[in-house]
Amino acid sequence: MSTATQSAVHDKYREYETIYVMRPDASGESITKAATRLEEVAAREGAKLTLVENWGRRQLAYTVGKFKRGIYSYIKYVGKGKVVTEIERNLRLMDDVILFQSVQVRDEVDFAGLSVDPEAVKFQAPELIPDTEEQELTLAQVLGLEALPGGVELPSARRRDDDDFDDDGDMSDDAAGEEDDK
Amino acid sequence: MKDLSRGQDKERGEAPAGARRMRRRGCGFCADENLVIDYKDPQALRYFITERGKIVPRRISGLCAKHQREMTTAIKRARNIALLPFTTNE
Repeated sequence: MSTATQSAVHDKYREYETIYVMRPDASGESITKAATRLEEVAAREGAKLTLVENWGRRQLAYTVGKFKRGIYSYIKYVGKGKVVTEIERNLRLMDDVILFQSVQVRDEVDFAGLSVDPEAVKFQAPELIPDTEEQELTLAQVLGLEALPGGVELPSARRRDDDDFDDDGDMSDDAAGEEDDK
Repeated sequence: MKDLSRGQDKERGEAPAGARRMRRRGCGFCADENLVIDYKDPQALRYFITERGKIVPRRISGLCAKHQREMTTAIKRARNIALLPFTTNE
């Protein structure tokens, strides 16, 4: 791609959104600090924030590092392509951020005629209660010999019966069983 | 005299014995344009993944090609940000 075309691509205003996840034990101060820093980065790069949300502490679908929960934040902004690079670079530098992802929402946004609701871009720090969920289970609880706190069932205890339409060529379990029968 | 009933039987076209005929339902997202596929809503996406976390194929989910493609992208995005699992085989 020639330089002229490249600059044309980066000169377009687009709408992007970024979700970032912070450690569950991050302090309210550090969460606010991260949000302020991203706000400054966006302003420096000539972008406009259109929405800032805090989703609070949530269960992660898988462990990240050693964390089972994370504090989710969501920002939406309009700017040129470079602002995404800059926001992601800053997120990478923050120690409390464990995951992040940016997605393009809209192409060709009219930047001059953009109206932003000042309430929507105001960062509201979450009211976090101290994290008591991160207690390690005892060996007896993992093996199912002892009841789990709150009557939760471990995922490994569930039946594995959702492979009825397994057509990816993975015949390891079933094929072995059939050969034994013969 | 002509036997009319024979012709009628032929047209009916009975299914062969033992074959299971299932009525195919149309794509839900094509039927209702207000429904959008959003990777930020894991509860809505959960219907399209198995208990193990695999993406449900088109022949089971009944989605059209376009919406299955969008659904796949949405599920993969949700996985990246830990809203959905890659696998639950722990």
